[in-house]
Order: sequence, then structure tokens, then C-alpha cells
Amino acid sequence: MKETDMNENVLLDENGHRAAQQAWAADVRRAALKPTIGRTSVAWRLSVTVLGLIVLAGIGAWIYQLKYGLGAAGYNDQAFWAVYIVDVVAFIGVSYGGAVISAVLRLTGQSWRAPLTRLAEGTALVTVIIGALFIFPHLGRPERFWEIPIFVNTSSPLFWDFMAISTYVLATVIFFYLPLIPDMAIVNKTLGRADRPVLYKIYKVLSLKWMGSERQRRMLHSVLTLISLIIIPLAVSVHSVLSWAFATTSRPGWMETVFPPYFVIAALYSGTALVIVVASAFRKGYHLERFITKRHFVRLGYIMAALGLVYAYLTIADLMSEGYTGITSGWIRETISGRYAIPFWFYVLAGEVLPIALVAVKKTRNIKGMTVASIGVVIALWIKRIVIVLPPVTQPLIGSYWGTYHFTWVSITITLAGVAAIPLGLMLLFRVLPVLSIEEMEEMGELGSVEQVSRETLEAQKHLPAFAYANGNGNGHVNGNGVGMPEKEVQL
Amino acid sequence: MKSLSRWLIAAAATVGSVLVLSGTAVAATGQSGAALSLAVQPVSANSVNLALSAQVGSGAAGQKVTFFIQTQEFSSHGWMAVGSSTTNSAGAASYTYTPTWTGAELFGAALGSSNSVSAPSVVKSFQVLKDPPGVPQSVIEYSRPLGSTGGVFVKSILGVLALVWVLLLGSLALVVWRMPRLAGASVDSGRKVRD
Repeated sequence: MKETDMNENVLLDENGHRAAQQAWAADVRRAALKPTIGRTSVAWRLSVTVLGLIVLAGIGAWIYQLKYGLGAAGYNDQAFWAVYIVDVVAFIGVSYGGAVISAVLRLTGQSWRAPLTRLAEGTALVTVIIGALFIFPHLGRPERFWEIPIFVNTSSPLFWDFMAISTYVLATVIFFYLPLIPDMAIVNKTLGRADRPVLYKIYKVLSLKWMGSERQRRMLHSVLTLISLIIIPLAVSVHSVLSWAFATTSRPGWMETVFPPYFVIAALYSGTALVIVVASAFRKGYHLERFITKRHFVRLGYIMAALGLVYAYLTIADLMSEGYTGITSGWIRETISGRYAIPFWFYVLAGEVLPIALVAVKKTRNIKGMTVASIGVVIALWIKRIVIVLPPVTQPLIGSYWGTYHFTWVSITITLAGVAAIPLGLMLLFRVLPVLSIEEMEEMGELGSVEQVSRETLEAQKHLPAFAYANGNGNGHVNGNGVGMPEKEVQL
Repeated sequence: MKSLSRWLIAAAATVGSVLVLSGTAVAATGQSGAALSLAVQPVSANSVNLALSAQVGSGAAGQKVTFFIQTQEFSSHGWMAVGSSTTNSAGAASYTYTPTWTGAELFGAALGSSNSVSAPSVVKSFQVLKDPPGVPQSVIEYSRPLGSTGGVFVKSILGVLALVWVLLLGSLALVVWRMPRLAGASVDSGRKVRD
């Protein structure tokens, strides 16, 4: 019998089961808390510095734009909407994916979700905040933003955008906080008062005296189910409202009934892709290989591919319905074969053909393949939003003079700052909060999923230094330090 | 790609025009032997409606004239019959047409009913202007369909939104208020927070 088979048998042995669970729990805690309570590495500090500088450069560019006006970002009489509204739609869109993926998996009781939920919900939280902030550079007079809720104009899509996004931000914050309550109690106990006294106090307050009693657990589960139920239609409404900002504007190419589902599916599609990218990056950077395995990527890849097909269908529906009437289809010619042909066909290749092919072919249906596919989708969907915004906005309503939009260093810097803010926000977030949902991971271990994960882990680590659960002595694994973790030092 | 598509469109339009023009002679001589001409002008100075006026020879009464507009489907063009009328004793036939969009428009006319002709034998270009002077309303400026019920609709949506906020904040408040009280309330089999 091969060594791996022996290990599996030992693992599944009745006596070894409890030891495996304990080892699993210890491993989860160590991996989840290491970024929070451990020292940061040079690479982490360097990354945070570089990303922080990019964000600061973006803020500087925005100050420059405030001084010289939206023309500094390439806006003009024709291109009155351009890159910033694309950023708003794209960033809030990817947030939608994280929230809905987590909510749906939670509601359907998918235990495999556990290692991903914190990353997905964290991504949703960070990106929705960045997306909402992009409204400010989009506004010509941002200092009058406060007037939106004070002098209510219900005829304005901007008012409804404000209402929808603020509601969604509130829901995302609550959805992120509630599963953190048990984890913060764990961090609080692990951290100790002396290590980081301020954080210790914050965790103590926010953990709400969590003891893990059955009644506390039942209550948390009920409220989380309710919030999961609310956040799905809420996210749909946010993207519908965002699309109506276009669809209620009398421009060819925007005033279409297909826009709400078009935007919602695009958000889900790009959001799922970003969850895969984030999971891949944090898996590697935070050494979470044991918990986030190939099956997570493949399952998310299936979801992403299905959404990609739906989005391709809606893209065709969008072009066909208006193109067939021919009334105002100049923007379609410009999109397919005119000045926006290169970005449009880039979307087709990188945002549809490549990811679906990578998921379809068994050989590429792995972590690397899904990551490459997801990066393609995230970039292509941002470019697709450019194609949705610019051709209609620059199409002339009278005469034949087409408007133009040129990217400037200001708009590029502010957009790059938004992109850099995602990993920066996540790295800082998981510096103070556990990167894995410890409670759910331990629950997963109790449900028996630990065995399946362990099998995968054993399979995946045939060629790695041995730190599997079972050590062949029939008692399941307990390594030298008694916590079932590899001796390898975890670096952030 | 852009220049190629434009070249193809221009080439197709040129070929189409040649065919239309050659069709003029055939239709004109084939059916009446008289020339058919077409004029397009606003019905009145302040009107958005256009009068499509065809003249068939001189005094050719009782002949059917079909009027066309050129439509565009993706990059290809086609002719669509919009209506027909019969010539009077002076050989004139007219049809009132309301354009639905602005810009250069191609109109056409052919002798015969819409069942017997599918393309015009004469073509006339006309520049449709948006909101001619003195016209109070364009198609877009008509009263909006939700104008009267919009208030109720808006209040309903705001009500739903308020309910969502109450649910969200209420849930959070419930957890914050109740959770610490449940901590010491039970000794049960639940997993405890381990040190």
C-alpha cells in the first residue's frame, strides 16, 4: 500500500478523526491569525508602501483636477461621462460579486465556502467603498455633494444612485461584521491585553461577549440568514439603479430595457473573477494553500464561466436590438468596426473566449488557469464598460461630428489609485482581522468536510515537506508542536 | 477596419443608387411613359410634418404612387413603404409623413401600389431638423407616461428603502443588544471559544 493511501486510511479512522479535527482547528487558527498578530514581512511593508504611494498619487491627481476642472481628466462637451463613471460601475460591480457569492453559498449551506467567505466579503467591503468614492471625481462640483440627500430631487438618477449605494454599503458592512463576531472573540483571547492594548479593547467591544453558546450561535445564524437574503436583491437593485442612470438618459445605446440585467450580470461576472484573483493572491502571499484548494478555484471557475455565457448573450442582445432598428446605430458601427473596435474585440477575446476556454479545457482547469482567466475577465470587463460609455456618449445627435475622449495622466492616475487601493485595503484589513473565517472553518471541520479537504491536501502535498495530519501511528496527526501545522514559518 | 467598413458602406450605397436610378427609367417608361418627380418640404413653417409630393407627367390622374423612406439595419440600407396616394387631375399625389429622428433622410416614390413596387424610382434627400422653430414639443418632450402616478411610485420605493434600512439597522441593533446577554444565559453543548 502506498504511503498516501495509508495516510488516508489513518485519517478516516475513528480514532484519528477527533485528532484530525483538533489539528485542523489549530491549523486554521494559526493560519488565520498569523497575519493579524504576527510580525509583518519586508515584502508586506514594501507592498503597502508602494500601493500607498500610488493611492497618494491618485489623491494628488484629484486635487489637480479640482483646481483645473474635469477637462484635466479629458472630459469635454461631447464626452460628458467617461472614465470615472466606468470606475464607479466597475468597482461597485466587483463588490457585488463578492457579496452575492458569499450570500448565496451561505444560504445554500455550501460548506466548501468557508475558506473563501472572509476574502469574498472583505473584497466586497473594500471595493464598494472605493467604487462609492469614485463618484467624487466624477462630479463637477463635489463640494455640493451634501445637497443630494438634503435637497432631494427624485427625478434625478443621481439621487437614486446615492440611496442605493449608501444602502448597499451599510448592508455590506453589516454582512462583513456579523461573521467576524466569533472570530474577534478568538483574536481577543489569543492576542492578550499586553500585545496590542488598543486593538485588544476594540476586539473586546466588537466581539459582544461571544462565548460560543448555542443560543448565541442560533441568533447569529438567524440574523446572518436574514442579511444574506436582503443583500442579494439589494445588490441587484444597486446595479439596476446604476444602469438606469444610463437607460433614462436620452442617448442612443443607453436608453435600453436590457441594461439592468446587463449591468447585474456584468457585476456578478467581474465580481466572481475578482474573488478568484484575490483568493489566488492571498493564498500565495499568506500561505493558505492548505485551505484554499484547487476545488475552490474550479467551482468558482464554473460559476464564472456560466455568468460569462449569460453576459455574452446579453451583449449580443444589446447590439442586436438596437442595431436591427438602425435608428441610432452609429455607435454600434463604431464599436464593432470603428474607433472602439480594438477595446471591444479585446473584451470578446480576453473577457469571453479565453476564460470560457480555460474553464472548458480540463488541462487548464486548475488554479493557474482560473487565475489567468479571472485576471482577463476583470480587465476585459473594465474595458467593456468603457465601450458601453464612450461610443454612445460621443455619438452626435445632430450632424455627423463625432466627439472624442482622450485619457489624461489625471484620469489614469486616479483610476490606478483605485486599483491599488483594493490590495492595499485588503492587506490593511487583514492586518487587524483574521483572513480566514475561523468559526466557519472549525464548523466545517466538525461537519466532516475536514476529511475531504485533508484528502485534497494530502494529494496536493505529495511533493511537499510532510506536514499532513496522519503520521502513520494510528492516532492521527499531531506533530512536534501539537498544533498540526507545518514547521515552515508563515511569512506575510 | 473602420475605413474598410466605411468603404464597403459607400460602395454599397453607390451600387444601390445606380440600381435605383436605372430603375427610374424602367418604371417611368414601363408604366406611364411620363416622368415621375418628387419634392419634400415641411407642411408648414412651424410643422414637424413633411409633405411628400409626387408629380406624374402632366395630368395623369388616378395613378397610384407609393412613398418610401430609406431605413438602416446595422450597416445595410433598405427601402420601406410608408404610404401611398392617388394622383389628382393635375398628376400630383402627396403624402404627409412625420419623421421620427433628425438628420439626413432619404425619401423615394414609385408608381404603383406597395404590393407591386418594392423600391422607389425617384429619390430625394432631405435634412430633418430637430425641433423646428415654433414647435413647442418634440416626440421626446411629450409628457412622461409616469407623470401622474410617479409620486405614488416614488413614495412606494422610498417606503421599501426605509424598510430595508430598518431591517438592516434593526438586525444590527438586535445583535449588539442581545448577544452579550446570551453569553452567560446558557450552559450548553455549543463550542466555546478556546484559549
